[in-house]
Amino acid sequence: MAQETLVEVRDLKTYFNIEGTWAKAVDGVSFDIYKGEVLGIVGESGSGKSVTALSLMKLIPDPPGRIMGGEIRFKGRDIAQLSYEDMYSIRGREIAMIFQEPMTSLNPVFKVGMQISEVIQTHFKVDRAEADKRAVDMLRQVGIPDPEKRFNEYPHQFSGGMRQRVMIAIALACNPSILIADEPTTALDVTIQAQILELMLDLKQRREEAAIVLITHDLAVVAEMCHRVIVMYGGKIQEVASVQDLFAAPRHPYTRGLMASIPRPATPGSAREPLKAIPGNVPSIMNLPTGCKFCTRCEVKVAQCDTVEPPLAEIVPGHFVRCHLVQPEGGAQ
Amino acid sequence: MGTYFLRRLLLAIPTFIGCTIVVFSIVQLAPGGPLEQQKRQLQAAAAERGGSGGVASEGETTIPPKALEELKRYYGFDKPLHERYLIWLGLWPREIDQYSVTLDSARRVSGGQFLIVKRQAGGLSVYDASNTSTPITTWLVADKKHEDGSPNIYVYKTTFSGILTGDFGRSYQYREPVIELIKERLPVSIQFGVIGFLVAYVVALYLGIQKALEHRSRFDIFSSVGLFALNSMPGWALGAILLMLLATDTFWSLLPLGGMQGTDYESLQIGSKIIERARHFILPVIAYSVGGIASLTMLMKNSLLENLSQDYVRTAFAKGLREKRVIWMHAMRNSIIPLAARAGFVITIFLAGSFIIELVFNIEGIGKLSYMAILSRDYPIVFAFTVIGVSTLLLGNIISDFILALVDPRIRFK
Repeated sequence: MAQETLVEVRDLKTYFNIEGTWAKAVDGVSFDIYKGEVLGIVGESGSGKSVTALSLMKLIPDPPGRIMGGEIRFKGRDIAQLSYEDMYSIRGREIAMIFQEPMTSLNPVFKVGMQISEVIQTHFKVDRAEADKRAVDMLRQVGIPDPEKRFNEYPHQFSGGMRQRVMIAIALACNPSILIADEPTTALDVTIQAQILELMLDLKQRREEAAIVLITHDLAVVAEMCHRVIVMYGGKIQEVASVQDLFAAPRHPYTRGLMASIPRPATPGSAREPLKAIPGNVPSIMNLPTGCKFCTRCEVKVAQCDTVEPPLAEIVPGHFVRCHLVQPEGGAQ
Repeated sequence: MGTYFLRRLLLAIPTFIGCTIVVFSIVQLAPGGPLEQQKRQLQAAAAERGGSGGVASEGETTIPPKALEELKRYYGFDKPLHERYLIWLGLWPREIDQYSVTLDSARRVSGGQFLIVKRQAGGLSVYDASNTSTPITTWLVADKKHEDGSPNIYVYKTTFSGILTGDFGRSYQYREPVIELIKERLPVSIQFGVIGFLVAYVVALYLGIQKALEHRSRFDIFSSVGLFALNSMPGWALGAILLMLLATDTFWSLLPLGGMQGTDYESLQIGSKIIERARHFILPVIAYSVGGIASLTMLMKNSLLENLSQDYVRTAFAKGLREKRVIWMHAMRNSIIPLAARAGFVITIFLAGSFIIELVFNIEGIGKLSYMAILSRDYPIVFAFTVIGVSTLLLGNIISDFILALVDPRIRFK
């Protein structure tokens, strides 16, 4: 795949002011998004993955949140420095987003057709009739049967899966360069999840240039959908790798813990293995350890993990790990 | 949808009957009714006569029992309460044109007719004086006895006439049909009610939106303090204070003291007439609207704040919509739902709280009329006001539901 960079995120810091202290929700995150790729961001709740995504759109509620530092370079501009005025032409047009809760993400009092044609009219100089026509076409593209009729219906007349399809239609209506999907299937039934993911892949194939950033805590979804994966924990990137490398050889203890916690059927003849869970809880972002963010739960930690934050090191080309115990050129442990 | 509202309308009927029965009974059971007032008037008249003649004694001041019975008959109080209620509704024959008669002697009745009542084997029959061979049926005759045992015979006609036939009766005080009294005063009350309602909604919408957008700002906090103060004060009390401050010589005499127009109103030019009217409206409208402003403002503010934090607002921003459109179109459209649901009660607003406000500002509206009617036990007016109040409230409820269904597509009544 052509590795043409679309977005360069450098040292992004997004903090939240909670009762006078700054909680470091995203603390120095750097990564690239390439044209045409599906980039997965995984991590537990509170790891900073959603805040990273919202920062790309400058949708962090301010107050209490604020982008405190770093760059988000996109098409020659730094989103982190752009005014809200300038963001209007990027949001929905260049970068679009779909959210976790399809049940509440659509405005309940407007017809879904209007909610789609609205975004088209916002970004393109087309009249109402043309926008409506494109909106019906989008509904058809996202697999909503009888789109002319459904165009005039309200969100409450749609099921959860259908609403997420509408959200996707809104997001893709202006052919954005990047689609950010923040846990798009978490709130849906498993069968509907598969349909939505399939739809996203299908639509992706028709838009070679476009990139998808898929935020999820579901490694199975990552394995199915993504080219590259970023593992986040404690507001920092802990591991970056291609999906093949990551699943073949997870290096960071946290990633390995995540992999071990995927339920697998017991092999015939052998005893049923207990499901492994990562011990402990995600530390509060108000109270993160000074050293490695994962040290409070790490099973293999050494003394310096408590005090010294390890750097994000490239151990093999394209595979970055933030761990004292993982050395470049495979010299781990 | 249609059947839902039809059902609501049908359900309003028993509610209406229940409300009116309660008011009807309570008002009639309260002491100081028209009979007692008549007695008092006669006593006062007698005392005056006695005062001038100087020979009055206590015994003379009571009404003779027969006269009292006739009064009762005139007011219809000789019937049991449930019959009175049904008569009032118009579902029970009402006795009209009562004339006391003596057996076998002609009595002149309405229309210049002469009637004679005779006792036959089967009871009493009425004859036209000119033809005493065949009894007539257009007149009925009652065969009762006075308390002292003497016969109490009277002829009468009956009719079904009550509020259901549009007959609200005649005011005891004004000796005029109640419907005419209300017709005169209703437009006045409606003017103040509607203007007060509009002012309350406009002010509350504006304040509520500003407070939500500047949540926790100095403006928000100070206006909240002011609103709570206003909310704690009845409109008529504020009206009285404002009158004292702005309409009397004690402080500033800027505005008229009350009424609808000044004495020289007719001689003014059209422009001056409008100004004159407006000057008379300022203080009453303030008094009318303060009650609603506080609660409506907080409703608006909380509703908008709540909606601004909803997921769909984030979606709207993510679509690249401008902040103005997100707030004024997406969030506002949802925020007005609870306010719109209240708007159906606009038709009751000229009744609610208008009693004392109209009194304070000396406005000749139906509030003042009913207040005076309650004090003087002018039953027909009190009952008419009850009917108007209950029906508008019930209708307001239904209209509110209807508006709610209009503004919120999720609500469909079945």
